[in-house]
Amino acid sequence: MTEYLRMSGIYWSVAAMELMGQSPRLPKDDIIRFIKSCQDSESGGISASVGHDPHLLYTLSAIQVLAMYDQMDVVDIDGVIRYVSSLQNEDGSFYGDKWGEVDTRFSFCAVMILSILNRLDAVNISKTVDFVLSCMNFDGGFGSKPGSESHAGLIYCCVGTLSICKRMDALQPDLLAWWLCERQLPSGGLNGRPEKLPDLCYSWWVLSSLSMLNRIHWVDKKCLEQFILACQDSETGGFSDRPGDIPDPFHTLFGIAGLSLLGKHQY
Amino acid sequence: MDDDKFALVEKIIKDVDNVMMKNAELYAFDIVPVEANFQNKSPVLNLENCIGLESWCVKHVYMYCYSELMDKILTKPKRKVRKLTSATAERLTKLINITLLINPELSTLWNRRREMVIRSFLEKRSELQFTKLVLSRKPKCNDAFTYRRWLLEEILKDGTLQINQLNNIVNDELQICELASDKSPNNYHSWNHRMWVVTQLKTYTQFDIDFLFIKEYNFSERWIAKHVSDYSCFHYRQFCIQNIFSISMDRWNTFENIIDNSLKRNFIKTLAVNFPNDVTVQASEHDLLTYSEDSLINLLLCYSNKTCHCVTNNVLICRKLEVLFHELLLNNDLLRYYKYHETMWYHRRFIVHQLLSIMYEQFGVIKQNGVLVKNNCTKCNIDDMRQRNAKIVKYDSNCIYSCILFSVVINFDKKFIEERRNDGDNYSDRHEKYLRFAEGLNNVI
Repeated sequence: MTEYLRMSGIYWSVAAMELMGQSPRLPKDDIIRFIKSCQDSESGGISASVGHDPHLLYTLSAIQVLAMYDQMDVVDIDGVIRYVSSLQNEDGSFYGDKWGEVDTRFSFCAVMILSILNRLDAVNISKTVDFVLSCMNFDGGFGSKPGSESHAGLIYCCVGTLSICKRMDALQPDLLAWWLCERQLPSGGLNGRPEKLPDLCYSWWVLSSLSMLNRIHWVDKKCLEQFILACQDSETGGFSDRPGDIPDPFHTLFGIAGLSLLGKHQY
Repeated sequence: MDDDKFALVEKIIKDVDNVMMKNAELYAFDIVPVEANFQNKSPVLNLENCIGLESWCVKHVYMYCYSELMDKILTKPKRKVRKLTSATAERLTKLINITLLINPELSTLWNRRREMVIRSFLEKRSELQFTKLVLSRKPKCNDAFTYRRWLLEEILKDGTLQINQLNNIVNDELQICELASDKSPNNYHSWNHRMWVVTQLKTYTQFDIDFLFIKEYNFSERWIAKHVSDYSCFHYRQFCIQNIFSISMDRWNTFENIIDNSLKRNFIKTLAVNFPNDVTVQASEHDLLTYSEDSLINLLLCYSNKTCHCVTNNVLICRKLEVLFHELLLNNDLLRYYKYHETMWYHRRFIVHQLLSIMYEQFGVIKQNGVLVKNNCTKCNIDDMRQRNAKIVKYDSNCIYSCILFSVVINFDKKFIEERRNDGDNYSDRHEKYLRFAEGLNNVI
């Protein structure tokens, strides 16, 4: 049931293990062989799994895993760069794949891939920035497209894009950070939009955005830490979206990543 | 899997296909929790225009269809896939239908459908119907909305589309968005899709976009009143308000008739009640009603820092203010009635922000990182380098903050904050802090 996002599943797991200094416990060679087999020779893009279509989301996950393993040359790097630059539009936005859906997530994927590969020159950075800025709302936040509602996950993507493109000056930092720290609820956990339930993954999306804005101290760190720890399942060790739910690799990574931003290394 | 199971799954595939072929009006699919096959009946249920699958068979059916799709069709070299015959396309469609109904997150399968549409193995209108079925069970499925947008773009490319056909398409889309937004609160994708639909139509000259703007404004007003913790619909409301600002002047009467509200009368009533005491001009509600838009705006915003001589459209400014004051009053009522909701307070931020922006624009200034700076006129675009981004001196900012409209807005909001605070609504303090520090009004509140 989850093969369609396997590449991201691998990234979440490898990144979590890497953060804990435990990545040798994963089957590195199998993973690298798998990634190699997921590259589409025609477009250069990488898919979630063999037989699936290439997409920027999974191309980023694959490149992130290869970067952690320092094994970039097992895939056709020029192919990846060709794929990313082929998906940029006239207005600076990016398609996620050849079928043409635009989303600020894909802008982030594109510049993240290229910055890892040190090839930001392969796309038009100033237009990339212009498009992301066209998605800014009156509250300082960002959505998936121009005019879309502010959303903490997409704010992470947009702030991340601007950070990689060295254009943090274009943000409204105080206004945005104000909105971001209002995501903290009495439980200590963070939500992604007003009046939604807290979800562990926003510990990463919100906190890392605040960190890029140099305003991480605007949230109650102690309270958030307690929430993150309450999301760990005492039997399996994994983390879930909220205390008591079933754990998964996605939330496990973002729980650990959140703790690491809080400066917690002693667990 | 043994042969019995194969036969059973094949029968299920056939049954699902039969129901779908027989009934073009199917609108809902779901998995019905039934633990085991007690009755030895087909697990495919069909009641009126709904189709169901009993849960005990889902895992078998999914594995069977997914494996066949992956092994036989999807992992083959591309050249072979391109040689699709109508027989294999038919088989492919049956398998993909059932697999996507169970797991609509499989983007690759949606892509195969796109290819089959391009090669005319699948028909665009029936594809829209299929996504409706998927959305009935998974109203947040972004892949289904994305696919719909792709199909609609293909359909809209057809230059021979009649206006009544276009109207039908639009009504269908809006209805599907409404269903999905109703089933799943804060549905980012359904509201995004709705905005996309409306935005698409802006480029159609033969389409009456102003009327759609009015209809959507009206719809969103009803919807927010019933979904007071769903910020996604409030965000859509904000989109509608901005669209209303752009309707042509000769449609304003239609607009007021449809919403059944004299916006101007209410605006003036609110002004009169909140008029500052210390100004030399005193105007009663009765007097104000006799004012033209020009004299009203000149009274309310009697200052300009502009260096050019562009004539501002005071009728338009007046109408924007009427709409925003209506929104403020509506927001008051909702907050009083439903109490303590972050969503409605956030919406209030939008309204106040819009009001301030109108004033700042009128005054030829703009807020940058919390500081007022001089701005170029948006109309004449004279780029006065000496003026641009220059800080506003104390005298100018005093003029801005002492204009009547500003006092009215602040008085009105302060009274409301106080009232809500006394009712125990903690968000009122947060709202005040937001105005002070995020909107930069700390010295003037």
